[in-house]
Amino acid sequence: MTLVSEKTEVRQDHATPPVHDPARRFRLRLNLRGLVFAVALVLVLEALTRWYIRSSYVPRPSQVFAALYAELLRGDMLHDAGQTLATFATGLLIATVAAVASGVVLGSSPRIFGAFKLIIEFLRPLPSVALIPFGILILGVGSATGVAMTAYAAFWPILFNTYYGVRDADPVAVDTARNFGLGRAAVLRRVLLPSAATNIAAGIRVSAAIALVLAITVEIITSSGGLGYYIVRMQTATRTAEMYGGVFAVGLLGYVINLVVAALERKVVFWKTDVRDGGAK
Amino acid sequence: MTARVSSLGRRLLPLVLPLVLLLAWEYLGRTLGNVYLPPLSSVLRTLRDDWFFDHTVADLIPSLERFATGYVVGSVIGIALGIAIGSSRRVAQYLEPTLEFLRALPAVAIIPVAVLAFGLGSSMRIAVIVFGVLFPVLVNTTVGARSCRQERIDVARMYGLSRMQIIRRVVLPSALPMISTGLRVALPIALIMMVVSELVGGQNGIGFYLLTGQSLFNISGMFAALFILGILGNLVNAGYARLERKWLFWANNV
Repeated sequence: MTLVSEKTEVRQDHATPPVHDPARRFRLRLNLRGLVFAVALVLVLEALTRWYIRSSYVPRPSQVFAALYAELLRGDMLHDAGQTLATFATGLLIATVAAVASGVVLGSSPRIFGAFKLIIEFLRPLPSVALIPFGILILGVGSATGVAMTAYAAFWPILFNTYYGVRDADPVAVDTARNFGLGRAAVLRRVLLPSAATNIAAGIRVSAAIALVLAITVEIITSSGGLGYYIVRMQTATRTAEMYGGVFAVGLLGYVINLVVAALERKVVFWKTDVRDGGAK
Repeated sequence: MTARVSSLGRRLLPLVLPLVLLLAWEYLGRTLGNVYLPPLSSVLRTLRDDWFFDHTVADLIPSLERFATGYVVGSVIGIALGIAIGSSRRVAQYLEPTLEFLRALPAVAIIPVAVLAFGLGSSMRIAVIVFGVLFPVLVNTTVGARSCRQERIDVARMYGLSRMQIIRRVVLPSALPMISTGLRVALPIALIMMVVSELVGGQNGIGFYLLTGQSLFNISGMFAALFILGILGNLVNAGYARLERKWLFWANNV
């Protein structure tokens, strides 16, 4: 019996997974074995730090969780998390609007793309964090720098995905729509954007991860509040349990953002067959 | 005739806008007199004075050393663990949520932890790069190893290959395209971690040069550093793409 079920499971791995059953996917995510391992890992770390590694630099997991709980109860950390989330969301939103608009323009005309090609290709591989010192000088230490840097870094993946999506739209579909008398705006709304939607969604998913990295980085470097600054503050005070608690909170934030973005993606572009693409970050 | 002109125009078109922008930069830099926008010529002068070759030796080479060390160490660990995890379906199931969580953790968040553990030296910066590279490579390798068809493994087993032989001859080759994807995704991350780890303070490195430029209000120097980083990013990406085409030409999904 077990042999049979094992075999069918292996088979399903190669076939395209059923997408219209979110419940099943959810169950896959919350697999029991994964949970067992995570709990076991925490217990082993607890045992190690309790009996073998006795250093104030390596707090016990129980201390970390206790610290996290206490900080959450006091509300300071929730405030910090809210600030990080606000920077992240504002930056990602600005990036999405700007990148989809630019991507549509670039994708619908090879000439325009040609004109911008060199600039885009030079700017894209430039590590976005190198702009943070400029941001600090020009925009000062505050949320403006965080939002600007987040938006800049999140811009590129969405831009490229939109560009390829629009460029590779089926020309027959575009011509058919034109034949039926649709104007430019209508073709854009009814043909180009829907056919680029899966690409755009994938771009937003990649950008969401990058946006969080930039939001946290700016907070760490400029000490301007948020979870990033919380971790730095706890580090300088050598309150290591709180520091690890902050790192855990950032991880949790990243994980939840991933889940939410993936769920939105499945909902909005429900016709896409494969939601995961090798974990591009 | 017109065809030839338009094809020439198409070839020159990409150069027009960058040239216009660079000229506008020079012009505005001279006329506005804004401290934040030094003319291009002064940026290029700084680039020549600083980066040929004083700061290349003092800052760029230490940066690149840490980048290379961190990238290689992170990749090797990621590939080894990924193959180990991915070649057993059960192990993968146990580890998946934990790995997903660690991958979702923005690597920059561990910088304060690394500072506490390693101080402000090179080892902290390398550790941060390793952490940033490790998870994308690990997760992609795991997915690649799991994508190996069970039939192939069964055939190899039937021919009497040992577990190690199966991993080396069957699992690893079929995971290579995904491993390569992971390595490609990890490159810009390594570059970002290199710069960030130097921005939090230190003794040398291109990020440190940027930081010094910021505190001395040396805007030309900061722009020069951006040029260097842009060129570096382009070289690294293009170099990897070339290697990938050369060695993985048989994998059509690259």
